Amino acid sequence: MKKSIVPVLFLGYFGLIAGVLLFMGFYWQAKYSPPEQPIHFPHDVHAGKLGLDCMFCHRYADKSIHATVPAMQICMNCHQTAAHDRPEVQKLLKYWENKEPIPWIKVHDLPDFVYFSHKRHVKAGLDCANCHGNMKVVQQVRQTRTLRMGFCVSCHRIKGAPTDCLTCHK
Amino acid sequence: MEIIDKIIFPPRHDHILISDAIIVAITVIYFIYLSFVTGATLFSAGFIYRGRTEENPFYSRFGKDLIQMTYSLKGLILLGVLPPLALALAYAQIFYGSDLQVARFFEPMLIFTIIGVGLSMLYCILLQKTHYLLFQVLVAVTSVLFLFMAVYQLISVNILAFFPEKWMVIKGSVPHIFDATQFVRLLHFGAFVLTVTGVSILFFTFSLRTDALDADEHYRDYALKFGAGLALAGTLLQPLFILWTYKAFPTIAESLEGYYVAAGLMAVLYLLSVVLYLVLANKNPRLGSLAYVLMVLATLVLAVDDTIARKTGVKEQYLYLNDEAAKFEDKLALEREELKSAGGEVSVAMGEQVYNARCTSCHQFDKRVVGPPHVEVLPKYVGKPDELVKFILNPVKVNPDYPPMPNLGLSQQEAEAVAKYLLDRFQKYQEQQRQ
Repeated sequence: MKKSIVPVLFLGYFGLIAGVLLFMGFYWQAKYSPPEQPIHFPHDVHAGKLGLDCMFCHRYADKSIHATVPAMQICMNCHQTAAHDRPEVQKLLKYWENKEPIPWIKVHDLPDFVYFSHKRHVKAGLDCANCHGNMKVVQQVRQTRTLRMGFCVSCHRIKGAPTDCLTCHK
Repeated sequence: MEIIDKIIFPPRHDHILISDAIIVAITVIYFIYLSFVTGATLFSAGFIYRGRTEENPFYSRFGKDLIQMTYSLKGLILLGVLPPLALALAYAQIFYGSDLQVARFFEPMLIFTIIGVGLSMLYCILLQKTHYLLFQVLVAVTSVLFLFMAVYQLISVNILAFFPEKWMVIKGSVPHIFDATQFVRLLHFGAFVLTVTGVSILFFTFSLRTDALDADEHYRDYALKFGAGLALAGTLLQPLFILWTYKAFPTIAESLEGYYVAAGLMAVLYLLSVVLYLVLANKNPRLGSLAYVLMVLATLVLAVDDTIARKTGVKEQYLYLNDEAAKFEDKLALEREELKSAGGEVSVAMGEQVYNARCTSCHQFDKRVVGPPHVEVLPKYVGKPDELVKFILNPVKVNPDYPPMPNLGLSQQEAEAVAKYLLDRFQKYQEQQRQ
């Protein structure tokens, strides 16, 4: 009797931990997995294959604190005529015809108490990939760096940038 | 080892697959070997100390037998020296073209392993040759420290491989990541040592070296109880550390598949714990081989889980590798065509290669994509290939309905080949239309 209960206890123990692991997995998927965007914009085609510069579309990255999601007009410069046979481009044309903005989901979102200027970082000679990863090969955008304070401060120390609280927390 | 990073050549599609497979297989072998030598040295020294202080020759005998299980020069070379070298090559291939100079981490790993296992072997020799207990124990402890440092290297490289954010803070060839993941994994290694050592004692004593058993019932019982008990303790501790590892995991390397595999690992560990319990309860050492197989399987699942974490954490690196492989394969095909058309002659086949690689993202022959269909623009170039070559090498905006064509930087020979291919294909197209 005593012998037969031990494997059952083990089953409960390992089963419980497997259950917790699965729960953590589903929680991750619900909360942290990369979002499904309204249009599957392929960065790998535009920045990779066609070789467009990041600032061809994100044109305020070196002029403003925001890199900005490009205005639809920028897409339409080419897609007025280009690739009309592709379903994702047809989605874009539909938004354009209906005069609706594309409801992109924000992926890189810093908390409000952080002051971050794209312009400063671009002017200092940083590569976009330092914080965003290699966008020339990806289709679905995800956050590849934690963008937490430890990440910012490590890089500031290495590059000799100021580490005053006031640099980022105004 | 830095030379490995420098000489590694551009990847091919099958290189990427093979490198991942090598990392899984070699990590399993190497990790089990390091764990066993660490555990055997540590526990052997404990038994020798106990045997001497309690003046009980039984413990001394057990301690000696334990360390002799690992004493093998062939083992050191096959399981301790070759794995870091193979891992260095495979990792260097995976991180080709990235910011992580990965091969340098394997140099200290190799040195630590050789010193650690070497000292463990020296300890084994000292047990036969001297009676200085302090000296013996000191050598054993130093050996364990070096083995621990080798494991530290292995664990750190595993973490760096799925956590690109840490790359910029790593200096030198010993990666201090200072992250919860690293700390928990080192603790997990402790539990792993218990499992591997215990299961190996069962396997070696009852399945491999049965001659050592002779008729000593007490020895047999003790080996069985100690081995199975140790392994069971380690196996029951492991899930806690695995859970903790996942709690500390960087979000970037998380994936649902990873969690599924971790849950599957629980099933393997459960089977292992039941088998070990049966060994203990029924005093049946024959299940030792099965326990060994399950332990190897559990390590394999752990290594697969790390590979999934790496493939998720540095997904961009894998995409880049595949991209590079495709480019490299295109280049090889092109070179083959160039060889065929030696002496400056350009061929239609070479033009087709260049065209498929460089032009098709914007152009189709008879359909508008980004640029105009070729059938619309080619008529004006019939009989004037030089003008077409000129345009390809230095494009200017012609039709206001289309965006300007970028300069693709083709060589003179490539542009000539593309022009030849296009005009040739256009001629065939016209003939078809006439029919």
